[in-house]
Amino acid sequence: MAERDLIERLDDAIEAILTGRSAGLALSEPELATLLMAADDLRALPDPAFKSQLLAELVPPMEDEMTTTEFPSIRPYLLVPDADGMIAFLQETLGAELLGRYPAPDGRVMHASMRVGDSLIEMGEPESGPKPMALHIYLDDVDGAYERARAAGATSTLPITDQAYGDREGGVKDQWGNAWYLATHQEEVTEDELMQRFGGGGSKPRKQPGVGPRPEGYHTVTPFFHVRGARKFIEFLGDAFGGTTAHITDMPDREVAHAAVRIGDSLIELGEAHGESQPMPSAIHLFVPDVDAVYERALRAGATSVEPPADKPYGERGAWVIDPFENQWFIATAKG
Amino acid sequence: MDRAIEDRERLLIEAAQKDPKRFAELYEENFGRVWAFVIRRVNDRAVAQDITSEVFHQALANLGRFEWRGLPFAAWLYRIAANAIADHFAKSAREQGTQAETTAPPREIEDIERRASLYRFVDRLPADQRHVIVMRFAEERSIREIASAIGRSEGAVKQLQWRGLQTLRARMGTNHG
Repeated sequence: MAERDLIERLDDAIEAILTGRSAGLALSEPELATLLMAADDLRALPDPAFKSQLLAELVPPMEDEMTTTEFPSIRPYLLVPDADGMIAFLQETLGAELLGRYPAPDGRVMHASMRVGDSLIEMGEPESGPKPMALHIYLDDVDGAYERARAAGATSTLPITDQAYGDREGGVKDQWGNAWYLATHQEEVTEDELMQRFGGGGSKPRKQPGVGPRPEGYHTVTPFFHVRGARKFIEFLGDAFGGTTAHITDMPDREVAHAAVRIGDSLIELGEAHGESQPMPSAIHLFVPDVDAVYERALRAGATSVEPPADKPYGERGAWVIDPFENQWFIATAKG
Repeated sequence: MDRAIEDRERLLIEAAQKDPKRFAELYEENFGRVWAFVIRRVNDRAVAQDITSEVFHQALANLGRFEWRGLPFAAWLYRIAANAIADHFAKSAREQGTQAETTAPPREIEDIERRASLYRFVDRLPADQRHVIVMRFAEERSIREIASAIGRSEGAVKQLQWRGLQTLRARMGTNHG
């Protein structure tokens, strides 16, 4: 008998089982009869949505991890279409440790978090499109991380270079478009020395013993914002989040070539968009002492509300705003 | 019980007793068994969901009191399930007076294990086959509804159903043949 006929006859028999007319079980062809036995057992197949909802009730996502204060207060939030791919990439490239992975009932990864050095990177698969961002990572062995990233499918944006500002640095873009600035801090460079180097003079960059792997005040992971209107962005960070400028480097051809702004115990870095470094609206999970107050300040500073402060089931009181530069801020205060 | 499986199960239980977040692993291991045990007895999806939910909530709440006596963890879950089913029937007037069995006889355990394996194999089917099998059997949707949901022809859906069942039969054959 042609396969097409068998497929039709099998479906007729399945229909009979499912609608309670079990006459279909009397199929004589052995090929069909054994398939129908499997189908008969599948009548009681549990609904995967029920299974994952029950698990979420039993083991509430994120409760412990969100309330923990052991991580820096700024946590980059990657919105990626393939969280499991990103998890594997971070494990292979940066030796990151998966702390939690929480599926939504529809099978998307709703939230996952990974420890990278002393920092936390969080992620989720968005219902809308991906939002690549840029991250600056300080680690012991930049050469190794750069090679591992390329082996894991990332493309090079900057070969390993000893930079004038004291970092040994390499850049890659992962397959989802996120930019990774990988660096080992290897030398303390004074502002005068830096300006001389930029002018073509000064000493050659070199490894200084006892320096690194990151400059003072930095954590392992620092989000990097390329923005149009960097000075305005710095003002916004001050008005909304009480950010204070740690340093600004202006270049002859470009104001705010690089700046670092401190918010709480963490830094964010930024630079005026130029050339290939165009704005990449980013998402940040920002922990503050009083989310309600910070939310109000952020709105007064020009942010748009997506969700006002509310108690979340995962151990925090959280709000969600979008700043005038289209970055998303998940502002949170740990509860209890 | 196989020694390696016993050791692994014991480690999972101890981990979950120390940190309830680790209960997820015990849940993954045993969900299909509890579901199969319950659905055989109540034969109604909505009721089976209520009772399965009750079983795991009770198990998590009482896990600290669970003592290892060499019996599979599933046996403990079956006892909770049998009691929950008995409570359910005691509450429903039409079933009053019937006594639910509180243990599962060996033949039934075999059947439960076979079904639990089948459910695990469904989870590992190629995505297009899995979607069709889940919609057809767990969600009880017609071929036409599935075709419209996944944007394929009815013939293509029947073919995926056929392939899915063939894959499952082959895997069950390898494991239980």
